Amino acid sequence: MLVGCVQFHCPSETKHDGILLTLEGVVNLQLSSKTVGLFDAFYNSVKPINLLQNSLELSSPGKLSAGNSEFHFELPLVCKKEPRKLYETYHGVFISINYQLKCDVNVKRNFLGKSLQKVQQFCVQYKPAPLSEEATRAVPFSLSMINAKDRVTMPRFLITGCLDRIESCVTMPITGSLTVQHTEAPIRSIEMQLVRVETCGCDEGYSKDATEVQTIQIVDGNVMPKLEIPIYMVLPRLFTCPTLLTKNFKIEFELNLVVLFKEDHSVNENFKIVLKRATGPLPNKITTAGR
Amino acid sequence: MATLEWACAPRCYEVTKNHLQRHATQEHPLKQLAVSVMAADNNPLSLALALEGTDPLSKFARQEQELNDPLTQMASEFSLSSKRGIPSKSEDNTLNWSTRRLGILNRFTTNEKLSLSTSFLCTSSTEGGGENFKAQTVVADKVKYRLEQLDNFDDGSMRHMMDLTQQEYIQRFDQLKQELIQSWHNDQRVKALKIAIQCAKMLSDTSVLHFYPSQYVLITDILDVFGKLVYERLRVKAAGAPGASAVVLQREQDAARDTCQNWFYKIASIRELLPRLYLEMAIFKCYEFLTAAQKEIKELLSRLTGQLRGIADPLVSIYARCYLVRVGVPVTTSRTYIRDNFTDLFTIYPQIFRLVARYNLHPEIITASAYLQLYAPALDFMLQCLLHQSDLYAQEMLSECKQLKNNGAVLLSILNSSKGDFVATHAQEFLELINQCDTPGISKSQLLRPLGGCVSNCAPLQEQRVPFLNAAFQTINTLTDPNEYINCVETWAPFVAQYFTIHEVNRLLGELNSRMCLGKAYEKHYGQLQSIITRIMQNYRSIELLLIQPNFLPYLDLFHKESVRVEVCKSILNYYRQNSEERTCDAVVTNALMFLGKILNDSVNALSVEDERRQISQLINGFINKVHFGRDLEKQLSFYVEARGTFSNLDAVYVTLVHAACKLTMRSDYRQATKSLGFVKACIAYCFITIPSISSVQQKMDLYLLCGQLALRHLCLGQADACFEAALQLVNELPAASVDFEGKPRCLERYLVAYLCNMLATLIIVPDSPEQDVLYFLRLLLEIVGRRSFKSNSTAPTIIYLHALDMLYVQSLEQFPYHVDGVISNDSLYGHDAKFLAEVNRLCGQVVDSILLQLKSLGAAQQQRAQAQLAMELFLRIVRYADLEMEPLCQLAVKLWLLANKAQAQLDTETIPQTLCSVEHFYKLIKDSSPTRAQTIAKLLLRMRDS
Amino acid sequence: MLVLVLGDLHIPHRCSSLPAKFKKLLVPGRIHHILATGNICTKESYDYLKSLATDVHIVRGDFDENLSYPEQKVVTVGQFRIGLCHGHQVVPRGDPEALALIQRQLDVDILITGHTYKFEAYEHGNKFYINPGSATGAFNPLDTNVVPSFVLMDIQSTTVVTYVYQLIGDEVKVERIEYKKI
Repeated sequence: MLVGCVQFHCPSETKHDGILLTLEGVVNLQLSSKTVGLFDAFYNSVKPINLLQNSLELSSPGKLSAGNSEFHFELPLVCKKEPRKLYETYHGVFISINYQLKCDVNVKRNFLGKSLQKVQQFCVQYKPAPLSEEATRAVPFSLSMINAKDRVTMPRFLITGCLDRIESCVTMPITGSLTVQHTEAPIRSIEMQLVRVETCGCDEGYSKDATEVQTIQIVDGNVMPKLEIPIYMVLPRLFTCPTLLTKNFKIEFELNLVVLFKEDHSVNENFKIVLKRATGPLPNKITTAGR
Repeated sequence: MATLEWACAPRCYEVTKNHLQRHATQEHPLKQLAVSVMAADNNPLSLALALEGTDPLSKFARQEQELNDPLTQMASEFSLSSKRGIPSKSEDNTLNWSTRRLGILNRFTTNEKLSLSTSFLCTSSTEGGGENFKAQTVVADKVKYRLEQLDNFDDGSMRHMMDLTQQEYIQRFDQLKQELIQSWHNDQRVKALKIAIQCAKMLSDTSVLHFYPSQYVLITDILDVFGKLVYERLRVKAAGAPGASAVVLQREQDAARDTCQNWFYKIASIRELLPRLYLEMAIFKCYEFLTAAQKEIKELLSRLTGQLRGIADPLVSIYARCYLVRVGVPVTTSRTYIRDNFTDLFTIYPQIFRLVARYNLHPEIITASAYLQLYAPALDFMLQCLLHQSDLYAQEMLSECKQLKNNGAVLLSILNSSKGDFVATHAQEFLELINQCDTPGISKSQLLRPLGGCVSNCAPLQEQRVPFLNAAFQTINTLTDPNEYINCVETWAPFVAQYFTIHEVNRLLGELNSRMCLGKAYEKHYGQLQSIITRIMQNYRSIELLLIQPNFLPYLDLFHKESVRVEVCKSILNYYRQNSEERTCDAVVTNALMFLGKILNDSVNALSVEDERRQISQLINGFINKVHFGRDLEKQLSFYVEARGTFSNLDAVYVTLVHAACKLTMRSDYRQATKSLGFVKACIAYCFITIPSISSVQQKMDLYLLCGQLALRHLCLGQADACFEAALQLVNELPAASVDFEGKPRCLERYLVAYLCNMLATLIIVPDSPEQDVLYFLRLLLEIVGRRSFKSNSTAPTIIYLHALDMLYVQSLEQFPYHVDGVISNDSLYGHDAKFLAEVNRLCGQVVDSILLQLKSLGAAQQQRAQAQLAMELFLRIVRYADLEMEPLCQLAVKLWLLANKAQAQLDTETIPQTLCSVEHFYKLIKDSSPTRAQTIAKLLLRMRDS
Repeated sequence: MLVLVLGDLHIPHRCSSLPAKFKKLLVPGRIHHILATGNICTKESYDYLKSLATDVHIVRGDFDENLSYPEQKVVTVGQFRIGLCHGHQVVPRGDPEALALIQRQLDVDILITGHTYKFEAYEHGNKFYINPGSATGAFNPLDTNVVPSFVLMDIQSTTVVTYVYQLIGDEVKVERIEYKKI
């Protein structure tokens, strides 16, 4: 249920021909440029998906008195057709999920015939649910030259560590630790990369694109061997959402652990992670002030 | 001109002093004060008054004592700081940091060129996106926008400024700080953040190692500013508008909380580790908008501690940890995270020495010891915060330190940061650690110095002191480099002086003497040698005992350079002056003082400035006045004789010696033994010999008069005569003016008049010598005054003559108004003999003649006012002293009266009435006792009225 | 109005300091004026007096280092004109008639002199004469038995209450003398 209030402030009494509130929720899909040609045929599948379309007449044609006037409203947030549920707000590169509330004031007598319109976006979030037992399992990993692409020139090294959970909550940082056990070549930097994998289309064929969301460094320089170094990454609020798998599109997240050596070698380890919205330690509040 | 006939009239009256009634009383103003102070004592509120309970001098003395005694000073400081410290500990600590900052900036400097990378300086800020995003209303969009803006900055024009001097570098940072503040206030928050990030990034630059600690100070200053701006803004937001309703307030608080969270999100997405951590630390205080739970704060701190492990460079890492402690201390009392930081530090500690080993091979980059010193400020601060007001971790740190290889650097910091009593109780342990310590870049003396400082402030238990000291000096004595050795001893000296007997102090001085003589080592260490002696004096309880140590004076020989030696002697004597016992009678002490004084005396030469002379004289006089041999007056006098021989360069010392010898005569009770009389004569003879060596004529005259008076009092008439004669002979040598100590010339005429009056008052009772004429000294005086050339139109000689008349009149009396016990003055000597009286009258006539001559010349010089005033004075004396039956005297009186009246216009209006009043007064006095004389006065008054 | 009168200290030549019992009585800030009859001798002593009260008047004694002090001075306190003179210039010394002459010349109600090292307070010809003696009990070359003494005058309109502080043995004896201006 979306609850709010529309306020008007008129310097003098004003005539209007009806005030209308419109609620919209749309998934926009876009194919990345490199795959556009190939997937022209499937263009259908990438047209926007309408999740929400609802409207409410706040006032029939009449007059707004001078000064402030308020209209309180309540609108149900329900998706009536497929997929019969609302997704969380998300801004990605190829996929975005947007919700907005539009308020139109029709003024026919205006000689230009223009109506007043005001658009206000709002966020939708899932109700937090506890993470499953299984999800709190730690994920150990180990990196050595075996992971490297060109094993011949690669210096010998071993890095071990673990991620605390395979499933994570979007409001909670990703945590874990790693330890450089030994290395022949000095390390320049170790970085953690958050990648989103957006898939548009359905079973028949799809475009799948991985783009970087954020990279943070967790080791700067040639750190002491055997020293346990924490992994700690706060997920960016707007560019992440719970992992979303639907018939038409998917939003997934992965982590890359990148080790850069002084001599321009690098090693990469990839982790698939599942994001959920769980009861987190930091209570999350979003103000959705409808005006 | 014929001599005036004068006849003194006998004195026929008594002057009545109407002594007012005196009542013994218990109540008086000063007493009341004392009482009120007592009352204040009981009143706990008036603390200030309670402190004031004593007189100012002793209060000063007490303050002085406090200043000089570092222990009590420490104690009072400590009690003050602990009083202040408990309620506002955090403040206390941040204060600590701000005092450190300057020290660090001054200590870690470089001549190397520095470089700096930023996109904010010298580029006009064209990215003024401020207005744009103001219009954005959607929170999400705003953040997005800002983040985009952030990205824009990233690939923005980065400028590298190379080859900056240190000064320029500091200026740039100052500019950056201003830029940041300005951006913030211009609502360009992202730009401000960006500046902060760039600054933090520069903390990973260790290319100019020497400068790193200062670089850290400069940059964290900026970060602190940024943190404060963010915090203040949030605080204002959260506080809401004044008078807002609870609902509104709640909304405001939620908004602030949200903004705060956004800040942390923003910072969490900074790519690089070091700036990300620094920025989070910079706004750490803002976490209080998100949580109030101490537990969570601690968790945050410990998470950051963990993350800091990712920084590989130990130097960068330790300073980052130091910053964490800086931001942590104000928000929590927990020390756990500091302890954790040390655990991590000890883990990466060997890393430091891997670098040390490298720099050992490349001392041109930085020497190992200089490199280790870079760690000291951070380490010290962290340790201090860990150990502040708590012994909880001290023991732990010490034992962990023991386990470390190359523990020197940590040990040094522990010594620098621990509380005195902790070091004191573990002194022996520390010493062993130092002995075992073999850390490259940290010398034993570096470690011994702070240990010495610690035990000087807070000593180990009594029974441990001696073995501890012995062990310590065993180590100190192994130091071969004289520089290291002396630097160590410098901090240990107060400890030895304060807690051990004089023998240990003496031994220490002896050791210093022999050590520093080797290869003329003293030449390079005058500063330390000086500071050692000062510290010993300040800490040893008795300066006298110090002075008599066999190794004390030889220590002075270490100061070969004359100027330093003089300086040291001065400081010792000065210390003696302020801190010694009231009196000393020890011959060895006296000898030592004389030795010191001699050095000072010999340093004075023709080129010495007046101020230097005065200072030295003052110091020597200080101890001369303290030397006191009790009843052994002979010894006292022979001391003065010796002093005269020793301090031949200093006038002021001679003056003091003469005064001292004079005082000595007063202490001898001459009536008991003839031996005493001999002694008094010896004293006066001493003065008589000493005075001529003084250069100031004026002082010579004063002293001769004083000695003459004393000789008279002790019935040494011959010596008295000699003194008076010498004094009078000097009158003509007296310059017309002298230069006083403010450098201004002072006319001495006024002085001379007062001096001769004083002399005349004394001469009244000096009996005539059988070898000289009647009233020899008076004649001599008159003759000398007559010979001396005064300023033109000076009234001085007239005034002297007038007083000579006073003196002569007394001579004419049957009994003098005062006598000295045992001295037969002229009244008894001549028994009012007519011949003597005739002589007195004749002299009176001469004196009056001289006065009249003077009056005439004053008149000729148009000095009517002075003439009239003096005429009045003479007139009054004639009225009082002269026999007015004699017509010439009466006529003279009338003439003088007329003379004065002629110049009435120039006189003060009161002068003539006052004179008349005096006459009238005199008339009343004698009216009853001598009606005939009263009648003559009445007649005179009539004649005055008629004429 | 409290006026401290003292003189003939002779520090450091004849005495090392004021008697401790006197020092205890002299608390800074309570005394309004100080009239010193001379022989303060050194600057240290002057500074000490300055620490007791800011308004310090001094005339020159025969052993004052500072020759710029005047020989005589008149100070007005309340309704009283007070003359100040050391007195070594008076022939014969301490002579009441000679002092009376000075009193008339200066036209003062109270004349304060020193030099004799003996406390005295008397009235003569309706005028008041005070000699505070020597505050340190410094020796007088021509006299024995000097008792350390000083004077504190409490001046209220036309009345002067004079308190004499004398150190007799080891006790401070205080006496009170009242003088009314006619």
